[in-house]
Amino acid sequence: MKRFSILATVVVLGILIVTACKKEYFNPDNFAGGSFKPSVAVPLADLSISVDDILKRWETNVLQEYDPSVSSGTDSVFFLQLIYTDSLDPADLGQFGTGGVIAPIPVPLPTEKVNLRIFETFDNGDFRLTNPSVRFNITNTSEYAFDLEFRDGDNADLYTEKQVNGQAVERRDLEITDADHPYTIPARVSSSTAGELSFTLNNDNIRYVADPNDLEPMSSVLEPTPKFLYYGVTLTPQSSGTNTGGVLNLTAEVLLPLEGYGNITYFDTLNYSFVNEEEASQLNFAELRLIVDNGMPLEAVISAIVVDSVNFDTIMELPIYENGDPKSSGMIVGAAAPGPAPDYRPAEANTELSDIALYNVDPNTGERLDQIQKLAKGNKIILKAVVQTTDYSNQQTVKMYSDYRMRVRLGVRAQASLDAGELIDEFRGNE
Amino acid sequence: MKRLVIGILLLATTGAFAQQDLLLYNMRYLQQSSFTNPAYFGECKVNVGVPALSSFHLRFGNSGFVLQDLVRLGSDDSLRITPIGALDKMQDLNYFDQEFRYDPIHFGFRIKDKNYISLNVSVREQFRWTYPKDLFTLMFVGNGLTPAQAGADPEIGDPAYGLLGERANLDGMAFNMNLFAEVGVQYARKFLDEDQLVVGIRPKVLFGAANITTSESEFGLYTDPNDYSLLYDGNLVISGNVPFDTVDSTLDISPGAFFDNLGFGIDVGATYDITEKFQVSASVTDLGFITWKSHPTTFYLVGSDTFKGISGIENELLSATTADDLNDSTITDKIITGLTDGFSDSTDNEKYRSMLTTRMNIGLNYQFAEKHNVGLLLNGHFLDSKLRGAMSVSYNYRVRKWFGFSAAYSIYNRSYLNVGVGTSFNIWPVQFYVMTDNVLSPILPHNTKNIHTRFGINLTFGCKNDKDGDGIVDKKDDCPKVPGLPQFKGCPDRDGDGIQDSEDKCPDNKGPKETNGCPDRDGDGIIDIEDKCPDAPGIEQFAGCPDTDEDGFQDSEDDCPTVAGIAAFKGCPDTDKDGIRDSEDECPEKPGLAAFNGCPDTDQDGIKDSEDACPEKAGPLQFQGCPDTDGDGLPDNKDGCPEKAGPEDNNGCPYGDRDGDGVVDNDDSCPDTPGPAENKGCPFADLDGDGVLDKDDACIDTPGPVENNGCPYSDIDGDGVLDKDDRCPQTPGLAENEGCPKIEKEEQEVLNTAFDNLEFETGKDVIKSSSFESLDRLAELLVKKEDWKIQISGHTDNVGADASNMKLSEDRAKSVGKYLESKGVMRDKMIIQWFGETKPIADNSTPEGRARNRRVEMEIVFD
Repeated sequence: MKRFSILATVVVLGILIVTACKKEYFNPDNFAGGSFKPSVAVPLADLSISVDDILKRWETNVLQEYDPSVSSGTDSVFFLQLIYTDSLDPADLGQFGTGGVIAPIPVPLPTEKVNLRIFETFDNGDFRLTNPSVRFNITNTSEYAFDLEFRDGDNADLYTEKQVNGQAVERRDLEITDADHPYTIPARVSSSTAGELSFTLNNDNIRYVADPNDLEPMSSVLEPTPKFLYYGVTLTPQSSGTNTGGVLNLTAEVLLPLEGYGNITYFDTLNYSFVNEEEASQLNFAELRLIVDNGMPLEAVISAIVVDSVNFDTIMELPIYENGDPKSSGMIVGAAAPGPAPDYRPAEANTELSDIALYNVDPNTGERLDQIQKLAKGNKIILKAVVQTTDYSNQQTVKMYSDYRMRVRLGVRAQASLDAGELIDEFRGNE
Repeated sequence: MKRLVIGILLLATTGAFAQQDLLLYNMRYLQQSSFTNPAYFGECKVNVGVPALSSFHLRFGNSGFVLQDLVRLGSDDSLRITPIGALDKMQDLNYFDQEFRYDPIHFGFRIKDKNYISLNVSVREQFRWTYPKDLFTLMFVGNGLTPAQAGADPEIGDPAYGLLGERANLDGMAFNMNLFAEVGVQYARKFLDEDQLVVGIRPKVLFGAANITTSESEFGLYTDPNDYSLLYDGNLVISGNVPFDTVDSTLDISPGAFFDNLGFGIDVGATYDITEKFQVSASVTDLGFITWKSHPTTFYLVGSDTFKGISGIENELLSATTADDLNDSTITDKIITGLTDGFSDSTDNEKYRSMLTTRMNIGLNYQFAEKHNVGLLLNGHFLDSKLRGAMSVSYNYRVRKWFGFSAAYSIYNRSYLNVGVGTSFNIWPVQFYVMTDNVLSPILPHNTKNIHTRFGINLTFGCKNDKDGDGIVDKKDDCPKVPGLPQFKGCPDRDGDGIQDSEDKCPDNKGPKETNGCPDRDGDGIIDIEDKCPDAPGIEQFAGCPDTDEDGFQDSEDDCPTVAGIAAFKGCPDTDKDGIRDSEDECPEKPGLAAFNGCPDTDQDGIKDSEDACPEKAGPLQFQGCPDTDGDGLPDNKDGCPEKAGPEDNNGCPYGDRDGDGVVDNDDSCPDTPGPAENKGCPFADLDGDGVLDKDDACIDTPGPVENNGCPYSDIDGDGVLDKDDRCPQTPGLAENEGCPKIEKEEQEVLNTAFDNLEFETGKDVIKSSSFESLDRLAELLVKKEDWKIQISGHTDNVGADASNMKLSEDRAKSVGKYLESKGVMRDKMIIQWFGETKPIADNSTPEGRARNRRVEMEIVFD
């Protein structure tokens, strides 16, 4: 019996060893990999961009900035005002006669132009300013008073000109309706004190020649596309005499307080490099999440198209979702609602959450979309952004302050489909 | 490479859980079992481990998963890594640990049969990696899925793997390592009369060589599902005697270092023989510590923060024209900084103390035959403040004095698949032994968590000659070839009833002396082997079987063994003798009918008495067996007038009409006073006696004429003219003027003058100044006459648009009102209305007619 028990135990163990041991587990040739698909969600950026930051990108003079030490609700609270300056070459008395004699004859000075563009890459639109103006400052160190007359009117030397790609596409002639025009430049007060003249052209005293009922001309001088203000003046000494020296200096300052309403379209083509198509095929989905806390009274609708670099053929439109629902109109960045006049400062930012979601396989239907591979295939994105001030259609006035901010939070969520066999082979290849 | 990967996977998926030798605990004939319980008492006088070969012990364990969880074998023999399969098996915290023990010196000897002393010098190494499940969840599933998304994914299928919006719990993640030498002295002593109690102790001195101790470890990562910001937290305290900050540092294991890192420990244990065959034991081992003074370093890391993304690169972004303009390395650095900025770290070089992993054992051992015993072992130790237990059931067979065999089934390390085997044999005096707690590990390596082995060589001296191995030396053994008991001088008592086999009528069944060693379980005086019913006391007539009710039928053949009965019903009774046995008779005390299961029907109406409301009067089933004599639908037992038909709501009795008004008393609210049926048999009242019945009288308490619905006429202003005849009911007036005040002629003239003189500027509501005088007089009059009101009505001709005419008439009427108000006339004395061209008073087709129609009328009115 005992021997039988021992024998039976040995036999059972033997059978277990022979039948239970799965040698297949230890045959390296059987190793066929195995997939897993980790998903990663990470925040990429948390940026806070002010109007000041943006304006500094372009050649813009910011004359006044918001001063938080000044109490709100008064007109003295500064908001952004752009100023473009231009100076004529000083005119000396020699230009007004010959042989040392000054004669009361008109002398036209060369036509000058002031570039009024704000942004380089904006394509279309306008920004209707409430109260723009051009301030002229003239100093006269001669003993002679002068008449200053703008060469205005139809096809004269006072006009605005819009240009696209360096070509004039629209010219609008201006005329001055100011009762004081032509202006008088006083002679110098003393040998150390120049005569001075300052006057301002604004919506009240300047108009378009062709259509005097059109929008006030100064309100539409500022455009995203390059726009120039041309002006030509003629100086006439009020009396004759000898040349005793002295010069006339004329400076034009275009003052553009950013108060008004606008609608601007921005187009740009951005180059990018992404993973190659093979690497892209390993991604199941990639979602770029954008949360914008917009403290500016500007609303933007942004859409983007992926194109190839050769023929600019459309590969796909970047799919944009809002709260999980597709937004065919593009990504909407809502505007902060402006506060009451006169400051119009928004009380709180507007928050929008949008996703740019790319799927190689539709998570609901299983259909192949290959959107990530398409993104990898292209290398250019045509970006279009329509930027409007809040309640643009009702011409709601806003003001732009330098401290207006936009907080942009960017995160990405992506899922890769990895094969353990390939990873091991790759690792082996690196050995 | 694949072999390497498979090898690593195999190693990572096998091993044990810091459990010591489970099988060894009950292999008490090996001196190495003293490491599990120092109450070991050697069979031989002297036991010596062969120097350098005494004992080797190696163990691996992984509590988280086995190889086949991580690598799935397909039907085509293909192997595929399935991380989710491994995750499914993991607990929140899992352990990979490894232990090695080498005992180059181990010897012991007995002193005067009551004492045993041994000495051991051992080298011990222990390693444990504690890994949280979420660490692998992050690795294989990531933090990018919510629980709902993870649950809905067919390849993942478990919401628990969704970490988006959840905290990845990495608390407890730790490394621990210990390398030290042990010098121990074991002392065991027998106590009590028959040496039933053995108590042992092993104090030991420890010499540390290398150590890593994680004393605090808490890490977590929360991913915000909204903006994916990462909230991380951590607290780590890790000590070691290896400088953490110098990679090239070599471990100082010079003898001096050993003596710097001194420690002390102790093992204690006891065994107690409850009976000759039943033994309990308990031990606590490795109770101690090592103080590390050689190169001690403790590293502290603590902090928490939320990384919301790279910030502070606004200017870089705005000035960049392409992505290449951004400095990738800077961005990478910023991400790393963002994810680590919240931590602060520090180190110190203070000595520290590491505790040994203390283990506890409780054992039960039962020797069910001469050479066979079974044991139960409960083993445990504390890890992460939790008691980690193990259980083992072993069978030990001492085949010969020189050969023993043991097998065990154990549950430990979250594994139910552990079969241990061990054996030892002597080639006198050399004792070889080998064992494993899990022999299945080489057989089923893909399905095992534990690898364990111990082997070595001992020398044994002074073992007594005992052929049958019963512990009684042959020269004192009356049965030297058969294992037996001391009280029978080595002869056996197989059934253990205290009667040795040679005198026992039933040697294999325990029994008292009175029945010659045979059992009589039911105590009826008939021994079991002759008793047909050995577990129930019986009588001899039925060969030991019982007749409980003593009715002459033995219980096994009696349908009613506890109640005396008759033969017709196989021992069951029929008390009422109605031919139906009591067990089937619903009325066993009353004779009855078979149709009613033995119950009676006295009135024979086909309804048995228990369900018959009138059991002695025949009646139909609809009245539960009662009659309805007057046929009014109410059975007699519920009928107030059983002989007279009547409605149910009058309890079966007929109604009357006492006042004879044709309304039966039941419907008559005034049964004693005649009245019409429409007033429920009551007469109508006329409280004020005005001849108008109250039902038609709007003022039942005040007399009034019929034409005013029984109410009197009012005279609010009290001028004697009833309101019905008063044009000015709220202003006292004259009866000849229909209750209104009289307007004097000169007053009417002022009014007419104001109307006649009133003129406006053409098309406007501006009153011409020529009208002011007459309006002033009118205003003066209105101020004087307090009860007067003036109604001002604006009108136009039909020239112009309707709307503009209406507006003009409004403006003009209001203009007059404003003027009068400016002259002191109260606003509430004016009623201003306008009608545009809607109320002409003349022909609009003529200039004269239109002039008349352009007017503002003014009229004195009273309330």
